[in-house]
Amino acid sequence: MTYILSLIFAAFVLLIAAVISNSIVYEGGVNPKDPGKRKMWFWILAVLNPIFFYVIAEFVMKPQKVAEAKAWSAALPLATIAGFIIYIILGFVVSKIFKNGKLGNWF
Amino acid sequence: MRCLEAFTHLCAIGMFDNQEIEILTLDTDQLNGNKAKTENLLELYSRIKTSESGPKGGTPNANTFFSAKLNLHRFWTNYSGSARANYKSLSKLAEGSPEKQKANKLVSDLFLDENSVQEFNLAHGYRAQTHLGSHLMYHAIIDSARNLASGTNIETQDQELEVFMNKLNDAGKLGARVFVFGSIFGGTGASSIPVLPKAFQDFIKIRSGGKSTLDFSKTKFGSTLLTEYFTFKKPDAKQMSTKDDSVIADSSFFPLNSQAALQFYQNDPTVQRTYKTMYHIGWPIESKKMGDEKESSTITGGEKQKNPCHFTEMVCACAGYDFFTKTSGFDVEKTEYLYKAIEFKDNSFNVNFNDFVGHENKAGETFANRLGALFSLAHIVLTKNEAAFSTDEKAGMRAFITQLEQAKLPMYSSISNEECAELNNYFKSFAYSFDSEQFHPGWIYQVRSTVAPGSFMFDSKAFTSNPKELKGLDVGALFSDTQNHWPDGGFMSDRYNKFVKTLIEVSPEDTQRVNTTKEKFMAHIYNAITKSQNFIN
Repeated sequence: MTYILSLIFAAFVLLIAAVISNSIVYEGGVNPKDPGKRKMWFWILAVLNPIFFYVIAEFVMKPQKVAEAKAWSAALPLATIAGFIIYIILGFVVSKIFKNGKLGNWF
Repeated sequence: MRCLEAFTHLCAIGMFDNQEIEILTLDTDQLNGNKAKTENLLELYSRIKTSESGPKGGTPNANTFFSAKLNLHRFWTNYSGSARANYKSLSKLAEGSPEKQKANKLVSDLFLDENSVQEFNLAHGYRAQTHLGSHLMYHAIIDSARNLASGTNIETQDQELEVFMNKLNDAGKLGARVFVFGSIFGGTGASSIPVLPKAFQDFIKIRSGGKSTLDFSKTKFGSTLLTEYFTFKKPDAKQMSTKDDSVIADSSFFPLNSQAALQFYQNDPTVQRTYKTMYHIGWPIESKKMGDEKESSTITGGEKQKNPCHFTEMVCACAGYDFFTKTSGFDVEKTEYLYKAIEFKDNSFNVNFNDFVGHENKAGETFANRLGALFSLAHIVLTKNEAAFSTDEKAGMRAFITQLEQAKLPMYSSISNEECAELNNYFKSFAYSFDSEQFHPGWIYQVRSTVAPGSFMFDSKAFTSNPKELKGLDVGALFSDTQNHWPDGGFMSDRYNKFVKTLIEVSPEDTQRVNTTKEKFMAHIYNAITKSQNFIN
C-alpha cells in the first residue's frame, strides 16, 4: 500500500512539475532563462517529492493500529526512495515523449 | 534607387514567388550614397539567398521570405577625367574640321545653354537637365555597345551591361517584362525613362551586328511616372559660382518639371510605341524636405546623398509588382496610363493593404500577410532577440536557432554565425538599428514616417524608437486590425509563447521549393508567423 501511495504521489508531483514548466513562457533573447527554470523546478520537486511524501505518510497517513503502523514505517523509507526513483524515471520518459515541448527541457 | 530599395524589400517579404529577376542599376553617379545603399542591400539579399551547397544568389522559392532570386548588374556612365567631365569635352566640340566644329556648336547651342548646361560637371548626374540627360544616357549605352563590339576601352560597367543585355535578348524571344523605376522630375531617372527601350534595342542591334533586335511586342516595357514628392535646400549664388556647379537642380521647379514631363509622356510617339504601361504616382500634399538644413550647400550627389525612403517609392515598387504579375493589358497599341488614389482625410492618409497591390486573387491579403510577417520577424530578431541592442553573436537570428535547439530541433544548427549576422543586418535595413544610443530608422520606419500620423496598416506602437518601449513591445500585436494579432496563448502565457509553440509544430513544405538549410529555416519561420497571423493563405 505504501508503495502504491508513493507511486501515486510521485505521479502527482510530476504533474505539478509539468504544470509549472508549461506555465514558464518562452523568453527569447541572448540568454533565455526559461529552459533552466523548467529544469530547476523539475529537480526542486524531485527533492520535495520524497520529503513531502515521507512527512505526510509518517504524520498524516500512518495507520492507527500498532501492527499496521510498524509495517507502514518499515516500508516507508524504501517506498520514499522508490517514489523518488519513479519520479525521475517517469520524468525522463515524459521528457523524451514531449521532447520538442517545454517538458523536453527536463532532460 | 530608393524605388529599387523598396522593390528589394518587396522581394524579401516574398511577393515574387518562383521568380528570377535581373536588376540593372543605371546611374551617372557611381559614388552616390543612395545607389551604394541599394546595391549593398541587393548584395546582402543575394548573400542571404546563397548557401555553400547551392548556386550564387540561391534559387527561387515560393511562399517564403526572400523567395525571388535577384541578379544585380550595374551600369554607370563614366564622366571622370577632364575629357569626359562635361558635355563640351565629352562631345568633343573643339575637335574636327572647322565646318564640323561650327555645325556641332550650332546644334549644341540650340538645345543646351552654352555657359551652364554644356559646362557643368556630369559626375553628379544630369541635375534636372533631362534634355541633356536623355541624349547622354542614350550615348553612354550606345558607346558601351560600340566599345564591346570593337573590343576597345571596355570597362567593368560595359561588361555588366552586356550580361544584362544578353539575358534580356534571350528572355525577350520568349516574352520578357522590363520595369523601369525613376522619377520624371529629377535628372538621371527622368532622362533615362524615355530613351531606355530604344537604347536597349540599339545596343542589341550593335552587339549582334544587326542580326538581332528587341521586339517591343514580345519585350514589354513598363515604368513609373513619379512626380515630385520631395524638396531640398535651394542652391545659393555662391555654390553656383563655379562652372562645375553652374547648374544645380532646384526643387522649387520640380512641380513645373513634372507637369512638362507629363505632357511629354502623354504625346511622345516613341514612348507611346515602346511602353505598354505607365503608372502615374504622385504625392498630393506638400513635399517633404530632404537633407540636413544645417548643410552649407545643396547636396548634388556623391556619397553624402543618402535621402530617407518615402511612401511613394513603396507605391512605385508595388507598381512593379502589378506590372510583373498582371495577366492582361499588354495588347495595347499605345501606352496605358494607370493611377489610383488613396484616402486623405482630416489631414492624414488612410492606407490599407489593398491600396498597394489591389485585391484581385487576394493579393491585398497576401501582401498584408507577408509584409506583416517580415515586420514581425524583424521585431523578433531586433527587439525580442536583441540584435538591435547587442553585438553578441548569440543575439538575433542565432537566438532563434538556439531556441529551436532548446526545443530539441537542431536541424538549423549548421547555419553559421556569419549567416545569422547577415540576416540581422538585413532586418536592421528593413526596420531599425541603434548605433550606441542613436536610433536609425530603417526602410519601413522611414516609409511610415512620411504618412504619419495617418494609419499605415500597423499599430503606431510597432514604430516606436524608444528603447524601453521597444523592449516591452508585443511582437504579436503589430497589426492595426486585432484580427491579425497572434493568439494570446491564454492563462499564464503570452503571444510569443504561443508563437514558439506554433514554430515547433510547423515545418517547411514541399510546395515552398526550399532546398538548403537556410531556405528551410526561413520557410519554417514564415509558416509559423503566417499561421499565427490568421490570414487565409
